[in-house]
Amino acid sequence: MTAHAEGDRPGEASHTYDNVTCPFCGLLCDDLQVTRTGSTLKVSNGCPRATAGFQRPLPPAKPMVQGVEVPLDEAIKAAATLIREAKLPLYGGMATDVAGARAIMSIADRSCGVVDHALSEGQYRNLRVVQTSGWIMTTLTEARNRADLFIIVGSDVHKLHGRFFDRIVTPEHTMFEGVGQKRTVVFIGEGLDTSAAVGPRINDLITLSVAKDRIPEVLAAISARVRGLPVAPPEAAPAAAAKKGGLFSSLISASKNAPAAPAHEIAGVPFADIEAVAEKCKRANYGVVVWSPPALSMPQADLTVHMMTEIVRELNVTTRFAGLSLGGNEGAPSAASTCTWQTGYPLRVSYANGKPEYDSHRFNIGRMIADEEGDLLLWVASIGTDIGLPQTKIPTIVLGTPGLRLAQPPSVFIPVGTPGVDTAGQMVRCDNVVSLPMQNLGRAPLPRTADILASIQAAL
Amino acid sequence: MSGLTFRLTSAPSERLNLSHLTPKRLSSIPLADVLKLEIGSTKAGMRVGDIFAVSGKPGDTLRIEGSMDKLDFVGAELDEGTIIVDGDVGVSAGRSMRGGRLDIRGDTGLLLGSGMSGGEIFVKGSAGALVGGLTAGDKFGMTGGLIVVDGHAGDRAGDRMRRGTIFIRGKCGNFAGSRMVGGTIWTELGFGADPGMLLRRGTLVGPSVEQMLPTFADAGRHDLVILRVLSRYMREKLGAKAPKPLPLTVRKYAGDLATIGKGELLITA
Amino acid sequence: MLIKLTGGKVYDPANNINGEVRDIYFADGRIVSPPADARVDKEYDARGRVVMAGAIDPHTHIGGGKVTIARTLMPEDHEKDEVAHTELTRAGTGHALPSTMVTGYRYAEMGYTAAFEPAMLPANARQAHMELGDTPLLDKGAFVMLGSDDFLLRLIASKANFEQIKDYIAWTMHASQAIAMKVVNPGGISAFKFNQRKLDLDEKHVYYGMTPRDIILTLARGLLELGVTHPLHVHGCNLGIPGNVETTLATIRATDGLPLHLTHIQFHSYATEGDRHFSSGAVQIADLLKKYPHISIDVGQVMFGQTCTASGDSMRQFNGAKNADPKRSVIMDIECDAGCGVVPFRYRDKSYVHALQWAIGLETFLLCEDPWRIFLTTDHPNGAPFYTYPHLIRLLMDRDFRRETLHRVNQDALKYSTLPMLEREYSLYEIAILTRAGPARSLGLKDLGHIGPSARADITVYKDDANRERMFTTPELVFKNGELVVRDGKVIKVVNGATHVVRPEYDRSIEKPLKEYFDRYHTVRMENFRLSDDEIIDGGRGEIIVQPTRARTSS
Repeated sequence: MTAHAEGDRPGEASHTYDNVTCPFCGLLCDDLQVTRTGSTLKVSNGCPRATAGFQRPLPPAKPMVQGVEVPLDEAIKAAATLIREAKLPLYGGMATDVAGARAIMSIADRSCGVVDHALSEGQYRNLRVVQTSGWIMTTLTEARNRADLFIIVGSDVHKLHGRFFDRIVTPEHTMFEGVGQKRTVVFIGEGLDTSAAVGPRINDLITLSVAKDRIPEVLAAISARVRGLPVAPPEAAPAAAAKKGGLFSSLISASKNAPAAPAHEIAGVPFADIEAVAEKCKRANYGVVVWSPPALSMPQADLTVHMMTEIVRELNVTTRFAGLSLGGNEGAPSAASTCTWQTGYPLRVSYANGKPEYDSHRFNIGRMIADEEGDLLLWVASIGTDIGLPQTKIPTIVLGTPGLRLAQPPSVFIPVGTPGVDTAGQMVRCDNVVSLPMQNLGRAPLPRTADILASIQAAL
Repeated sequence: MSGLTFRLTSAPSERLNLSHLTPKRLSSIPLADVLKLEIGSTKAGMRVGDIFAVSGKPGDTLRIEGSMDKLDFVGAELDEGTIIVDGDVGVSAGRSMRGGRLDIRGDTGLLLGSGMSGGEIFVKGSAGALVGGLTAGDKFGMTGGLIVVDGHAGDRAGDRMRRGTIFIRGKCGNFAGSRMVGGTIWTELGFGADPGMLLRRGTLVGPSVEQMLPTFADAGRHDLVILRVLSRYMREKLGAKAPKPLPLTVRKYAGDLATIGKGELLITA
Repeated sequence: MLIKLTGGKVYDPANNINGEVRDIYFADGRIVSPPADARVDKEYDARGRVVMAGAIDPHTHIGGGKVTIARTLMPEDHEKDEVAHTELTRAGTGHALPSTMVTGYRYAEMGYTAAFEPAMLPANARQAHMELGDTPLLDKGAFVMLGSDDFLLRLIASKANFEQIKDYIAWTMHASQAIAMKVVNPGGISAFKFNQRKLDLDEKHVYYGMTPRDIILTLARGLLELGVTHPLHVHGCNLGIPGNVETTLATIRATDGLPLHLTHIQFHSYATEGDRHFSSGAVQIADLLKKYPHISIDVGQVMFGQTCTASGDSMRQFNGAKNADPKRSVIMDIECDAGCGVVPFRYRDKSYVHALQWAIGLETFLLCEDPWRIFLTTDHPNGAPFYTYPHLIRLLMDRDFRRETLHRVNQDALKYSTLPMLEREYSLYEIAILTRAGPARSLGLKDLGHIGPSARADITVYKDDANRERMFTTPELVFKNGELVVRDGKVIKVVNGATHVVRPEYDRSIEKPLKEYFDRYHTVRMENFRLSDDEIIDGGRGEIIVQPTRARTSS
């Protein structure tokens, strides 16, 4: 750890931390420089999200039971009592580091609870594909140095992951002479910010503008074309029908359609543009299809992911191509990986019968809360402030970063540190390969989630 | 028709897993032990006797009365005999069923008949998403048997289905036959949007499609043997309740060309 | 506290003890010499029992990204083997890809007290160690993979000073906290990213121009001169390809006296005789190995049933993905550093190919005369899950049992293997070498794998059962660091094991070009790529044991 002091007076001294890993999105950029003066942090090279995360003024926070400030050990005791009495405790949120995730798994195992992460829905768009047919994937450094084609699908990557373009798509240097020096970037979707895809590395920038829920059609056409299969213009326009029409409003009898629309379009995208992208795919030496799972909000989005992996698979018959899934905010990959190596299953696991039982529907904590299943919710949100406690009538224990947005006052609130800011730890990056050390920047003397949970477990 | 009847005596406060309750399995267990079967989903434990009044004698039929949507895995792994359910069921009814008959006189949650390889499921009401679909760790969705839903079916009926028949008297939701590798889905009131996404092989039959994927190619009108086979099969299975036979020619769309594209979508209207 | 284990038949090859009845004493976690008149605090009766050191698995994929990918890929495999928690132990799942805690429990329940993850990618080292940290009851360590990482390949291509290459090898071992080094499909994982689909021993990497032979010799020589005890651990070219025995023979010849360990050699011993053009090359391998005493092997025995293959060899696994069963696979290109490929697989006894793979493994065991140079592995989970070891041991020790088993496999396959002719039966002493003394010596684990004075008191006590499978499945007692952790094949106490590493000497100035390299090209800082001791020690959950290396030399 590389802290160097610059001030004299204790408390007022400035400390500068180098190679700081940022916990605020799944990219886990680890080249940040952060200066702390007292409890105030200043990031010199972060994206807006990182800056907002590190520099957020931290409101004071004390352990509370039923809205009343109490000493920490009382809050721990109260939490333990609630867990002891619960028939089916739900361990949700899980926005923490690996140590926190381990502690959640441990207490959930002991107390026969259910574990799930607040952002599992996004991860499950990927997992449903992995568990059905698998995929071919790449990682950030590999994409940065090797790709000559990026296809960004349905995700406003620049907004979600502010340094993705800087670090992966447009960096100055490339590892391999003559490889991926000039890049084509294709955006598929509507209203995606393409402004960061600039600079000497960018050869060509193509946008296929299409509404989110029609992206699968465009992908399907690309998939067919990379296989060399024809995509004929429809004789009529059944595709123009409103997708979300009422049950009977838009039944179209295909056989009765009048022939011939003039320009061949798919979901409003000229077919020629799709054809051009398919051609680029086939000619690429190393293409990368990029998406951020939480952004794929079209219905049954795992089919969109599946479509992308089908394209990738087909292209690998002749050239090299890979997927790259971003997302991974709020410690989601740390939670999923830890849960997987400890149980075999990627979250949505119930220990109710003493064994890990897996069901991505039944043990989806978001659904369980909505359907009033479970009788206690322990919610860990130690990173960002906007994955606050969901609305529920059951008692709640929150281990949260001070300032966490809460839909209702929890039964027990225990402030905890943010990994990489207030506490040291380790987190897993969005590509599920690299994990990084998180530094304690000394912002606030807040405890580790793992330690609080261990204390609660000890008090059970 | 002899058999046990399970009457729900109160609304369960938790989801129940009824996969133990099949006529064959219960015929080998003394009633006292049946009452002790663990069916709950919390550490407190919930036994059959806690929430069901059980009457009758074990036989080839099993009845569940007063059922509701918290009852999961009803008829799971059924291999012979009949289960009749008065009321709704939760998820994964008929999961991995291999034979016998599951008669649900209400609505079902998602994954009805997921992974089933044989037998028949009849649903009076509507079914949720993923009828005959697959769940994590399955190679395929349904691989055999028949599912008949009198009402509508949710999205993604037949997800990665491989064999067997799904017949929906009502409307089939969006993405029917997604990733399907074989088998047949027939809807009498038509498909929602994008049926057959990533369809590899298999047949989708219906009067209409709300929105057709661009990767289905119009192959013109055809007189197909499968239409007669399917009509005959339904007549054999359903007798008087069989649907009106399919027309002799249909418009065929081949797809999904986004993948190997050896499936077909047959429009009957 | 002095503990006495009385009257067992001791098999301790490292100390030349072959079935002698002896008393073993230990105190404070270590074996001690029989004390003259000290008071024994606790005595265990081992009369009529077989006593060995705790077993060591030198090659088992139990931790790291690819294992967790494999776990993700195979939920149906876990469902059949869900393990409930007890007062002592955590819940988890087993079968082909057991969860970390269950891995620890089940190894211990089989008498194992140490296991080594053989394919840790530098880029994934942190996670590998986190997973090993969640694997109780075992000492552990990991072999770090180089050979398709860009930094090494550019050093070789630019004909860099060999001392600098050695510094980089050593730095990587420090940074990733490794006990040994592995190369997987040398250069091939990188070549696959450049769309090369195969890379034979003397085939040039399309971008860097060097050959797998160059890479193997560079790393093998580097490790030798760095004084690392375990020689380069080689997963060679052309895994699984009929005819690859020629590549393997050429690799052996290429060493020219350099020490090398050829891993899961079964997968690299395929000849092309017969109508199916697939036959055993085990005899050729065993014959050549006699002339190359510096080469050791482990087998990677195939056993029938469902498993999942997980390898760094993305090139070969991409190819193998078409045979996936169930039909799903994950292939990854990783960080200009390595790759991985995860392909579920079911070995069927009636399949010609699978039966032959099974036979080749057994042939290899039975043909290799020197038990110090061969280790008992299934390359878990690639050939089979590690729970099959007792069955494998019985196949090696019991000729009649082997003969019976032969009848159940594809008979055509046996025509292309010498297995039906082999009469050899392993002795308990030899099994103790294969599973204890040999791996410990090869990996340089100074106080493991034997039970002489000063060794760690990792001890396994078996009932002497003629059914060796039963005997090795359920040891009566297992001590870890002198504590009784397993009784009658069930965990009764849970402790954490240590992590073994080596720290070969290197010139720290290598960090200057490395830092520039990381800053310029990577998405991880060099400082964060390195895994600190604290991350393994983790507030006392873990412990690091630095095993000695020989003095660094130059040629």
